[in-house]
Amino acid sequence: MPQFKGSEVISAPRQAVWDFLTDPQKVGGCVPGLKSLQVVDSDHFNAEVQVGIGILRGTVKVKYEVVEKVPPERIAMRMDGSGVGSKALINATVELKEAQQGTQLDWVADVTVSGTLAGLGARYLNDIAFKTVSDIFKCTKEKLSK
Amino acid sequence: MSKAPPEIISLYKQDSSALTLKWLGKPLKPKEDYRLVRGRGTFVDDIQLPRMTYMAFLRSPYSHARIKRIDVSRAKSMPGVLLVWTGDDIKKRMRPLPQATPPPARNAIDYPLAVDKVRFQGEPVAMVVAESRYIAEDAVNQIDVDYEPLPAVVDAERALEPGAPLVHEEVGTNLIAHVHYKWGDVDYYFQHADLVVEAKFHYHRFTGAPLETNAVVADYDERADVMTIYCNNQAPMEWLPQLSAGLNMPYPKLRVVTRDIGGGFGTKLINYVYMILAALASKELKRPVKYMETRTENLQAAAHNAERTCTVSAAVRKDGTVLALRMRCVDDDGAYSRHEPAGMTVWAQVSTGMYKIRALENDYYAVFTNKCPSTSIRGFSRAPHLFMIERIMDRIARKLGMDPAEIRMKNLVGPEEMPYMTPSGGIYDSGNWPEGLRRALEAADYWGWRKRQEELRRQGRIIGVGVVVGSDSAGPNMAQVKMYNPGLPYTGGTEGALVQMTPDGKVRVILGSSPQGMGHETTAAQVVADVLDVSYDDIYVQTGFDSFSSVYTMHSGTYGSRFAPIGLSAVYLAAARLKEKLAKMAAYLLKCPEGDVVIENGAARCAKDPQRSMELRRIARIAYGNVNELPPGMEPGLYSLAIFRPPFQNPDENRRANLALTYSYNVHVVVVEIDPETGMPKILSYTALEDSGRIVNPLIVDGQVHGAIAHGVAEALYEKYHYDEDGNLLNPTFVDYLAPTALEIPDMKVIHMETPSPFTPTGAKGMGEGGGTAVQAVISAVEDALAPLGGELGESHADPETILRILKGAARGKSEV
Repeated sequence: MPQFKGSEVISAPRQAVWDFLTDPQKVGGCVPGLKSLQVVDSDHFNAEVQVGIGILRGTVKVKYEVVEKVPPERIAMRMDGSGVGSKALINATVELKEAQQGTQLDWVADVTVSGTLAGLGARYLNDIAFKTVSDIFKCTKEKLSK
Repeated sequence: MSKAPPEIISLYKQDSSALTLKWLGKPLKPKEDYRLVRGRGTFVDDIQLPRMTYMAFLRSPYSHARIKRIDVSRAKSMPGVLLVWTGDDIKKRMRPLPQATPPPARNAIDYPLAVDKVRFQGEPVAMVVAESRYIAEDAVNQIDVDYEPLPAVVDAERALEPGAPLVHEEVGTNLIAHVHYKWGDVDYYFQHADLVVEAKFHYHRFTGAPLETNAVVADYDERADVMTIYCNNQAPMEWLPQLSAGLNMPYPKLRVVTRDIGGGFGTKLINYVYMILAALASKELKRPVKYMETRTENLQAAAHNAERTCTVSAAVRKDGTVLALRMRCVDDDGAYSRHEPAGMTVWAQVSTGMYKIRALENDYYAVFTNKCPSTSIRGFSRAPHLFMIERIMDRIARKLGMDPAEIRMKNLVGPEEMPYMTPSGGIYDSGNWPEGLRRALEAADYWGWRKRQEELRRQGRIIGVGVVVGSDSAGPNMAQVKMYNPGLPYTGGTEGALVQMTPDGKVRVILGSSPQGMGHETTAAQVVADVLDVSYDDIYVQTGFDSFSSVYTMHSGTYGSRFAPIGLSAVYLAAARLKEKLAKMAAYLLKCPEGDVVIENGAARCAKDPQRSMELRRIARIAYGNVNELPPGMEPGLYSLAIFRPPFQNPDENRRANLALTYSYNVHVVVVEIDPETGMPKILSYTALEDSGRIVNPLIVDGQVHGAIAHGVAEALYEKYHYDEDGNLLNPTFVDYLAPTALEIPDMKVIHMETPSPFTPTGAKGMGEGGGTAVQAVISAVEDALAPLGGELGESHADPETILRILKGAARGKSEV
């Protein structure tokens, strides 16, 4: 089970970052390849995401769920994706710290993939999983820095 | 163990007096190739019927998981979707597939769509039938399944341990079957051996990767209440019980048709599950249903070979005589017993390999794992078994300081002992194996290579030479299944053929086989032309199989290299009987004593008076239309139907039996050089000697030899399935499952010997699988290259990573396996 990590420094107050990450509309809008977003409640949303990985192209359905919230410093989330003959489970934890230039965002994600996608193995999948998760937080940074 | 007793030899001996040897052995252009090379064959996907519908599957992403909930509502409501079924819908419509396994494995419940649980990645979970394949695939994506993933078992030996996850809870164990074989006084030989050599080997998982994947068109005719199934199954009549049980229809209502089939290699035996699903859907919709498997579906979930792990001990004398073998083997048969555990008996066709080994013990297990179900891929069960024997021969040679060719020469069964009876009751029909080995060594310049190998090694080059003697046992005796399940009512090995001289004097031939590129239309025509002594161009062999017109038995089909020994024997018998009938008619019409009638060059003549002759087409015209000219009481028409039955017997109480009709043999000599930087072996020289009895058509025999070498080289160096510990198949596409292209296949020198089989009327032997000799020879050569560095290969696949590890280990001064 590969684990990925990353950090972003966002020039916005910690509370603003927190508000962004706990608003399904906003964080959902940062999911790369988003086709549709259906917010269930403040802790749950369902999304349809367009993916294209090598020869595999199609729509992945993502169920997003907040599993733990410690305002305004820690949030744990679970993303359950299914499509293109595969299942992907991402468990991610985000920690927010006050920093000189604003807020430091540290994230850790565990990724489990089953099905056809798993066959792509380390060659593509690690890069893609890393890019997908880090894109969400990069997007968070961009939107908040505007 | 010695020459077979005379009463056995006379039981098996066949009469071949009807042969003229005018058409056998000629390199005639294959009849089917004219259409095939122009892209004019008819494959399942070429069949287009009015009102056709299309089937697609949702497949499991998990290798082992409980199905908690399936929501098909969105898929069902899509425009163009006609039917969405899950396992529960199938369960309502059919009984579980019949299980050939003994209890408790027989309790396993197997449906073509998963019920409650998935057991391998890629297992069909739901199916959609729609107006187009596009709609069907889109609808598949709208099905939601909640799974509860379960721990997977992917290692066969681990599967037998207590506490291992159970693939089938209702079985209570992962053991499919266990058989303890013991032939001869193994204990005595092990007590009296000078040394015992032991090693453990793994025969890896791969597939046949045919050009055409599994496909079916099922078309239910409501008015006639007939189900027509166009398919590419290799042995559709073998699965009659499965089809009939699945569809709840009697055999005369089931019409199964094959046309051209784009390769099988054993992978197209267990596609009956798709035949049943398409047929059930066609019956429901009253419309034809087509399914064409994608390549990824094929590689992931169609059919793999069973992996085999054996610990092999050999009792050996100092002079290199191998006295006895003791083995413990475990077959990894995957998630369902759809064809297996047949492999745990089929190996016994070649129990002691090519050698005068006096005794053999094999403690044999077959297990379920969370992997793709397995079937009989080319060289089925015998190739892995011969691999074990050939590997241990190399290890013994190295231990004794003998050359691998010498130890083989020392132990080979000699021509004076043919037909040879093995300790397990096998009867090797004919051949001169030592002479074959001598000729192959000479053709390959074996001893020259050994000298060059020394010189090149001194220059730091890594060169290996492999030599292997193998058998392509052919025409199986199905009674072998009784070795693991004595109650199974399935024995023998028969095939049917119909030869008809039509009123215009041409000849129509209908076979029970369903060839996949083996050229049956050609070789059957050659046998008929040869027996009747008519022109090859006047013989018309029906393409494919049709259960409404073909002559069949429940063994019918094309598998186990059975057409040359069994199918062509039926053709011979039918043609010979037709010739007798023609002779009877001619005797009357020519007013010639029957014994004096000679049928020759398309005419019948009276030997004593050559003036009295008549063309066969005139006799044919009389036989069908001008019947008042026929002898009084003689039945008109020129139909001849034959079913060939080899004199097979059931295994005795000690599980001794002859399990195949003919035993082709081959010798492969391979030279490889290993690139020290990449670890990739390159084949420098490949020589193959083949003796498949009387050659019916040398073009076809050479094609089979080339194909078997290509397949074997690829298995040894390129093709291997990789599962991770969760049961994910990591290479289900041609991007990373390395089926070879022409570039990967070496130039090869093929030479022949021709020792006719006394056990078939044509003298031909089956040779379509190659016996895995190429795999064994390449691995033998790679290990020979690595041996001075202390490296040994424990597997039938030598990838560059493994080789580099050995090279690096050697560089660090220690050996690794």
